[in-house]
Amino acid sequence: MSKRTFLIVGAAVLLFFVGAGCWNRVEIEDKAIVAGVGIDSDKENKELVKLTVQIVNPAALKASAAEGGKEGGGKEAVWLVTAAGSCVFDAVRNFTFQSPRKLFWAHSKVIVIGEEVAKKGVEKIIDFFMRDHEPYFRTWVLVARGKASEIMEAKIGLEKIPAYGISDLVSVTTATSQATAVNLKEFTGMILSKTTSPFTTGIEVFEKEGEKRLRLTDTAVFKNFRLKGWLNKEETRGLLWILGKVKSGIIDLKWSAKDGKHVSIEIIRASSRVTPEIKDGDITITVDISEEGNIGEDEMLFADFITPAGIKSLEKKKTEVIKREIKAAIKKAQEFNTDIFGFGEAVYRKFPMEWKKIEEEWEKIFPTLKVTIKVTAKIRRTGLISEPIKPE
Amino acid sequence: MLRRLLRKIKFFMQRNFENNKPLSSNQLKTSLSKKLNTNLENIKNILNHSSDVAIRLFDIGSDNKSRAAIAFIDGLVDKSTINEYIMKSLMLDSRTALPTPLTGKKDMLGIIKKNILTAAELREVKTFEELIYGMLSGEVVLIVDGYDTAFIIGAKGWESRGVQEPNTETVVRGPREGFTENLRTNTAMLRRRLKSPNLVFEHLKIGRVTNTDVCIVYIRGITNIKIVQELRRRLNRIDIDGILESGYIEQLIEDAPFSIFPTIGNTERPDKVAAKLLEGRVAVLTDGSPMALTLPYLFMEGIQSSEDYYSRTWFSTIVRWIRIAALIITILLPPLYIAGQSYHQEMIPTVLLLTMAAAKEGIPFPVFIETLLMGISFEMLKEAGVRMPRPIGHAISIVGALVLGEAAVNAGVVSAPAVIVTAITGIAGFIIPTHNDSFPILRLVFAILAAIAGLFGLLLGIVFLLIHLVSLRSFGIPYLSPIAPGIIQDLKDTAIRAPLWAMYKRPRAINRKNPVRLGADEPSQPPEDKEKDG
Amino acid sequence: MAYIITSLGLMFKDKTIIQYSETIAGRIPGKLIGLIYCGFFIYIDAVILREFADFFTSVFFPETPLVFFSISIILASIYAVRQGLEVIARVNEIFFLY
Repeated sequence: MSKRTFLIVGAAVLLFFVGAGCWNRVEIEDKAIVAGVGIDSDKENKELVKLTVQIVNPAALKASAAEGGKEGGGKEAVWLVTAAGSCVFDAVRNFTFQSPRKLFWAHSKVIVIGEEVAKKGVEKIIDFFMRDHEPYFRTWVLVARGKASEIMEAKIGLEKIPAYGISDLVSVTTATSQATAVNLKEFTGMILSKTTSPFTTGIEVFEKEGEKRLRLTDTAVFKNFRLKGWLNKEETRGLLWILGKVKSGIIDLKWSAKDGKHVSIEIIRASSRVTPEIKDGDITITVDISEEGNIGEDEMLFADFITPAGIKSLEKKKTEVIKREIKAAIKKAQEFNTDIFGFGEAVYRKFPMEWKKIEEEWEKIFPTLKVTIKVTAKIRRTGLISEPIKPE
Repeated sequence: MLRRLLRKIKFFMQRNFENNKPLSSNQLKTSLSKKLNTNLENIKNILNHSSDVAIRLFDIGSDNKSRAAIAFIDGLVDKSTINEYIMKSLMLDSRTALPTPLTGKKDMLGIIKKNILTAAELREVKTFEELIYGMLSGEVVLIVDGYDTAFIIGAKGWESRGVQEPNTETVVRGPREGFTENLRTNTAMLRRRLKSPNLVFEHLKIGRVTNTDVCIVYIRGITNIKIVQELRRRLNRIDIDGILESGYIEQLIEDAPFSIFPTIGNTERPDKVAAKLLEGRVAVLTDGSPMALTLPYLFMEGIQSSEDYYSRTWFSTIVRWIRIAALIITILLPPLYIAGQSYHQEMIPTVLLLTMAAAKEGIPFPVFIETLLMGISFEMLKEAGVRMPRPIGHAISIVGALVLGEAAVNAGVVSAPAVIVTAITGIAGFIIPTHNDSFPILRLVFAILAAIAGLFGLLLGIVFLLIHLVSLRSFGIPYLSPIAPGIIQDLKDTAIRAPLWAMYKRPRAINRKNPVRLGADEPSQPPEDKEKDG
Repeated sequence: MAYIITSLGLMFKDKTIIQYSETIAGRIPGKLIGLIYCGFFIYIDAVILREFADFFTSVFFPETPLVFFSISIILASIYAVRQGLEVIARVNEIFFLY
């Protein structure tokens, strides 16, 4: 290459880059970081969707960081904005009428769906959040008991940004395994399956000392995009037992019915296996649960538990409790006719040939499906002390 | 009258012209005459009657009939040597040692050489060329009347810096010696480390005016002789008026003069040069410069330090990792910061993003300008710190740190993360001193690319950089070896520094002949204690 | 296939595939083979280029024109090709091994 061509090519390349750049550049200070969004329907304005978003106010965070102990300069860490539109995307763009900065969705951690919207159907909502490149597919999906906007307005202690607080609440549900949330990807995955019904946790507002606070509640169960009903705490854990999602939690054994004394077992690890069987065209599902736990609390003041026989009796009692929880969950699910456990998928995986025949009838089969529950519960350790503390 | 005037004018004109004319080679090529006075006149004329030329006339022999003279350049010679071993021998000791008169003897020069002069270094010359260059490099010329042969006596001795700890490459563990500006001292330092007959110093003179002594150093049998031949060819090709520093040579013989990466290494440490020679490399020493050149120079040498081999394996390996991390940080951190802030906010962890957004609130500049400003200020501080006299340098760094770090952030001109990024980048850059001149350029280019096209621009930049690095060669050795081409055996001295007993072979990349370093029977085992008790 | 191409390449050491296909198959069919050969690579490269640029436009930079990515990656390729086969091999060595 001669020197001249080299120069010409070099200049062209340079011009190309300088002239080309910066289409997508939006500086961080020109973006409004959305922490969480609540979705309601808006009847008054005849608009279909009403979004309530929490936008992080960086200035408030800065002030509090710089001034240490002082209250963040009186500024709120989040700014609540509401916009309505004919569809979600329309509503999202309508925010720009109010917000001086363009909304940035990549760091939105929760999507709270209002109960009304959930009952009508979530299919219209999910599409935008999956299609647009900004929202993160690990965003938690929650269902509000009541209005989503109320959830967005409430506060959570310790956390400046309530939406992030909700996200943290969801992550600590493993401590009890009595509530469960799914993220956008899992939620969509369950929708995509023909038979499995999506579920996710509910969230509600309660008042305490004149302040609106948040807590997770029962589990919302969907059928064909629509909210079908709620599972209570016990049933929720039953569901998680079957799914093998129980990570930790307390099994409370009411030992003596008279004085209401308890022995609590801490779940250390649990696993499950779902095996479908087909006999003469009849489908039975066997759920094998194996669980290990430690004694967490002993109010009975019995030293007897520490004998092998005592441990056996505890294990037996625990097995009963687990079975009871699972049965309750199955019963509720069959009432709703929602296959939240993915039994259909399990059958399909093991008997793909037979599945084709029964696929269409699954709706009819599921409510009367026979489920055998086998539980192996073990107690491994007794904690730091073996015998309960009592005067000799 | 008129004729005399004309002659005078002619004379002046001639002198004016002559004074500005360089010495013709014919004048130098002439051989010495038998007459002492003619010779001395000639020396004075050739050296243009320079004020530092000293000529001393004296008589020798017991009959004081033989006239002789010594000539030297004042300041380049050791006067006590002249007094003690030349003048004293010739004028006093000769009379006692040889009572008979010297004059008339047939081989007076031979007698002087064999019996009288007590100086160690001595050679005979017949032409002015050799004589003058001898004088100019600090030797003493002895001319005896009646002979057309002169003696060149070595009595070099000029003021020079002593051996000091090198400023550019300090170590905690290891020798404290550094090269000096004196070529002989430097060669001596190398010879003292490598007491082998195979250590070769090859002498060259480069520079039409400076006549700088340049020395090619290598170990016969270890070095790939092709590299030496190529180096010799390139050095002989140099046709320049002056070599003032080894940097001149480096720039005139390097493989890729347009690249921002150096393909010839330099060091101030004799132990480092010795180690490189033992690896099969070649060194070039230049008179007047304490920086020795080593070649071929590979990219990986940038993360190697002589101390790595003196400390123990584990620590050295961890230090290598830190250097690699620093290398990545110093090139990529500012561009990544720019790309993350302007384009890829979704890739930053939420909490970090909020902190950054909070810091960025109310800052007037976009992040690219901000980073660029900080980067330029840092480079300015660095430059000021180097050029300033020491005491002022401290003041500069304090003011700089305060202005850049504290005040700029407090005033809301730049954000705190930008300051942090710049500071980390700067510190990381100092960890790899050999590439210190190429990294800021690279960083700037990458920052611009990141500002234009985010991570995609950065990716493109890295691809271009890799292609460039891979296409580089240093004296025939691929610059990126042993990474690409991958030489598994040589990887023992890259991201890990294998124990010395495991590095029993010299790097394959440089020379494949005579590779074995350790003489153990099973070289990949730690050396065993033969006199083990029980 | 690889074996055929390698042995043919060894048979005609100083010729390119387009040149020796003329020797083997005659003038017109040889030219046709060369054309198909070129066309194949032009097609494949075009598809790869489009996919690459498409990925970047849809995932990272929705507002940036496709051409920007295509041209910049072509520039990188041109540079690599100018530096020669050895350089391409070494770069790939780095990308795949480390």
